[in-house]
Amino acid sequence: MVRSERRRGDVRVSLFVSAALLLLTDLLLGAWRPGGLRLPSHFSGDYLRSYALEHAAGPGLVVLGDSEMWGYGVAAAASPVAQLERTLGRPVDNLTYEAETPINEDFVLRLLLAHGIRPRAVIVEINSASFNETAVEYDRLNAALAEVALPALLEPFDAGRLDDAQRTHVPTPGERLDRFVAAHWRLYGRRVDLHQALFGDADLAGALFARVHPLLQPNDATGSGRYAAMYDLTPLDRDNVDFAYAGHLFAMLAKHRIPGIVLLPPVNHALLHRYVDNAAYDANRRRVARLAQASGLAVLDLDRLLPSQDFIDNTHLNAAGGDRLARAIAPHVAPYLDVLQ
Amino acid sequence: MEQSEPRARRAAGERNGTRPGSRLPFDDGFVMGVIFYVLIVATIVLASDAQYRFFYGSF
Repeated sequence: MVRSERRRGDVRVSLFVSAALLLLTDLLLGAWRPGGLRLPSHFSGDYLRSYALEHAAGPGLVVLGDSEMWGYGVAAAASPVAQLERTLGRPVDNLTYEAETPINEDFVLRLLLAHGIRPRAVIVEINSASFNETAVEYDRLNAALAEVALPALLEPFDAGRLDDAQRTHVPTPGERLDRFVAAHWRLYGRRVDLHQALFGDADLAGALFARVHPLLQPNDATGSGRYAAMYDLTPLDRDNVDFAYAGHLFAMLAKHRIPGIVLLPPVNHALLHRYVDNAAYDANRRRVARLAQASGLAVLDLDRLLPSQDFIDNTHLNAAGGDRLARAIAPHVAPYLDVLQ
Repeated sequence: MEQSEPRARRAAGERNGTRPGSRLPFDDGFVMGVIFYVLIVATIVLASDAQYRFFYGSF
């Protein structure tokens, strides 16, 4: 009798303690402001929105771009954007993330504008590999961006361009429940961010993928062969989804009078010689440049800026490469520094 | 014969197989509460596949 009462008492105490700790965790997560020099590899929609709004609302130059500017393969402090900030001595807000293709950049800007935030000046990195129709990110939004941008930010322009699976997706009851729980329980809603904060990318799935992937595609695992299908040299026009979105993004910047530089970033020509040292590749770069200039944007073509030793692969830079890229960009940003005061 | 209180407590400890002084400084319920909390957090953070939406398929 005494023992069962004691046990009931223990259960009540343990439920109270676990509930109190969960509540405390949610309060702490509520006070957690996404900071750091860049977004992590994976992030929740809530984290992306908080990070983007907080950074873009500041006085800094906003950078949109993909893993090259994000700094894949190097520490956040060695990323080209962080080095640009040090070179300029002014705040530079890094809104880049891996595979932020033009369609993603377009929706990130829509997200900012929808929240009443108009960046003072923007650098838009346009990577030639973005226009590859076989890439998974060609016509799709990052899942976290889709969470916060769809369907609210859809425009008629997106019909037939943004992947139908995302554009017309009707949430299942399970997904609605998931969103409801995530919206009301921060521990659940921020679980990806907690995982990243605690473990980074060093997880078992990543380690296995890195080991297994070369075994599945042994011929493409080394050398330039793995990039054979990365650069689509079909002449770019509005039928290419990312070219169309690049035009839409440039027009949006012009409409909102946001000064911008379109950056065509360095590519490892020594490694990719077979695929990019040709007239078709150069012609496509000129098409992107003309598209930007048509909206009154400046174009900075640094495609051949860096030698092979500044790269870790086809397009990602080591710390020295990032430093050289930052120093090459800095003088072109100078005309915009007065609006960044 | 009636035992003094410390002796009775010692006797009870011996019957339960625990020695006085080896008990945790917390109540059992508190410890279980912390264990439940750790299990809930670990399950949510470690067992979620949400971070793989991007690179591992469904992005």
